[in-house]
Amino acid sequence: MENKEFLIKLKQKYLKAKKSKYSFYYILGILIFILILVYLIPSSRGIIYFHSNFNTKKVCKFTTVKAFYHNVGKTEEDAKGLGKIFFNYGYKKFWIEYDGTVDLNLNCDDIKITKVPFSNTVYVTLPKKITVDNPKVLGNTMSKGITDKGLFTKITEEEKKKAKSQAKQEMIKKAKEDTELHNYAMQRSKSLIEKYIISIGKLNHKEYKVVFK
Amino acid sequence: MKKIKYCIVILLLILIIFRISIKLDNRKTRVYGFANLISIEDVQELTITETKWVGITNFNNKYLNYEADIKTSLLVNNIEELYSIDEKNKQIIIKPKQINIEVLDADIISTIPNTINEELRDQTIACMEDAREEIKKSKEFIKTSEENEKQILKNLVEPFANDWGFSIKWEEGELNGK
Repeated sequence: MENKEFLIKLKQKYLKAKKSKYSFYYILGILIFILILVYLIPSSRGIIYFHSNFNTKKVCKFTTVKAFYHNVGKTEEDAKGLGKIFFNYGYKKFWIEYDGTVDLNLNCDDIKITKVPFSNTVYVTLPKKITVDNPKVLGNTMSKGITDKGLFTKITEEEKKKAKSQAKQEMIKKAKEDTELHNYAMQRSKSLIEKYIISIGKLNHKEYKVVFK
Repeated sequence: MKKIKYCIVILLLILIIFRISIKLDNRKTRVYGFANLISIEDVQELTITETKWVGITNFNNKYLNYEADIKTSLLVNNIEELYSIDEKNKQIIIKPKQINIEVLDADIISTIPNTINEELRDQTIACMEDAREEIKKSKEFIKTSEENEKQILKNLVEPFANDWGFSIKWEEGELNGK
């Protein structure tokens, strides 16, 4: 009888020991799992951040430059024929100053960003041309105008109106032909995109190299 | 045997706590260190703009139509001058800065009357002076320059600030032309 009780106690002890042994391994397993998680998850949003946020929409806003123009709209005609000798007949000049703005953009649909897996090189494709958008002549900035003319020569109201209405078209033309400004807008876009990508790399402890195509 | 088990568990716990503390610290330092991602050279380089100013000036009762080359840039010596961090309201406050405006050169396009018998050098100086004065008065020019400068600063700061839950605030007082 005593032996039986002893055996039962021994079995209970054994089970208890076994249970505590297993629970130790459970705890150990859980701790190791947590440790692995803590070590593996990047400190910042890391690569996930790169892929989820670094899209063309985000980059697109880097590419807008507002250009200001202070310009002069003109109607000019030189004296013709005998007018060159007599009283400067036919000679007329009408100048009017105005302010205006245009937006210089890169077309967002043409911007592509690709990153080769397991490489630190990021390829950025940008459109070759800058788009000139949203031209505005700031009406309240138009000056009264300066006129000069030969004798018996008139500058009609129509001509004055024409000079004013041509201002917007001239500004767009000027903005489209302003290669210096285009280069600046392109260079600024490239610099901002490059700095942004490199900064994301720094946050992920990576050295991204940006290649523009 | 039991002691060894305890030691292993405690060691693992220490490692976990250590790692988590580093992560939290990293996160904190990143919020404050994000500005290290932006160098003063970047700001200076990106905020330099060259543009043309086509205007008319009165020169000894004659008129000159000229084209002047203008350079604008942000006056900033170090990155701390540019921003401060309001930790409580989770805001990055961009301080107002002065925009430096320089008139580099001027070319005369046309004159009223057609010929002016005065020194070209004097005419050019008069045009440059006129451009300088007109720009100072032009609220629209200053406003556009400010918008462009703000856009650059915003683009440099915002992507990272937002990621850490910070918003950008422009401090009262506008950027001023000089």
